[in-house]
Amino acid sequence: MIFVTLGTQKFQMNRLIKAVDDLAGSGVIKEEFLIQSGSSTYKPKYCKHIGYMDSEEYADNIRKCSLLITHAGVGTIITGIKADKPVVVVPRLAKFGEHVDDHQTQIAEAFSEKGSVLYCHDIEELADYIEKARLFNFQPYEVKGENVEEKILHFMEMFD
Amino acid sequence: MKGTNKVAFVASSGGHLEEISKLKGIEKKYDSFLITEKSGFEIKDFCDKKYYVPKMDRKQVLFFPKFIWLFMRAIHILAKEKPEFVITTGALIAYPFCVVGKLLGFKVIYIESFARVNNPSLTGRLVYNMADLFMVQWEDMLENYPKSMLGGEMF
Repeated sequence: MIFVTLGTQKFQMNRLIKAVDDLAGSGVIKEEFLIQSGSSTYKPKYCKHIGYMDSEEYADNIRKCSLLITHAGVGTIITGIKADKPVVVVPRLAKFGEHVDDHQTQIAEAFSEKGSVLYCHDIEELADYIEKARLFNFQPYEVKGENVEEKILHFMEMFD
Repeated sequence: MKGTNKVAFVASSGGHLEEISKLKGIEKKYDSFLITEKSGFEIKDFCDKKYYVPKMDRKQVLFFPKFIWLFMRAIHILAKEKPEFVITTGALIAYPFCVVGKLLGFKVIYIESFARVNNPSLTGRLVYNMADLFMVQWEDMLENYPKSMLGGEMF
């Protein structure tokens, strides 16, 4: 199963759902898709889809999938990498009304620079990215050792 | 034994909420509550006490009146709860809580989202000068926010 997820953004990302549905409908990709479609309005004809799922089911689908296609949401990307899944990232773009701005391109860039995900720059080429992801040697993502929480606690303790 | 101080966590749904929920140690140590948006996304094991506000973004219709309403809600919640600290990862729903928190004399702690790699968020820029502690997660962000503290990654 290829898990496609759009997170919990209030914005639609019909563009990605349609691209995936076209690949399923035309038979270009034979494996079944499961789409977590969030606030998107496009109804896929050839793929299983669900608006939202709880966090356990979500994590479970990431564990079970053979490949993860996601908007550039940090939480999902990191969960996918930690689960050792091939991750293809399609950032939300403001020009399609998918977010307030294009900061998701920076996330995609940051993770793909380290070889931890594949950054799909052109949705027309999604099938190629899926094929490439099957063979790609993904790098684990190293989380830097500093600790946000410790520093905040240290600050807060000054007022205890 | 919980600390005597009280903490208000504020985060919009999705990634912001996921990020703030990593601050489990703070949530456990202090008397904590959470203000977040209503959505299909829930974090179960973070803050038993929750306040919900409607989903909001700056591009929606009626944004301005909704935003004013959110200020009223922020005054109401924070005046009632009187937390010593307001801790937030954004996004825009956090702004009224930071402003009101600051005016009421609470300490404001802002964490710029990990999702912001190169350029600052609107909320970050708005809150930067009023925050008592401003954390970033990427080294490059120190250029945008010279008075901030680098905390490393939260995930």
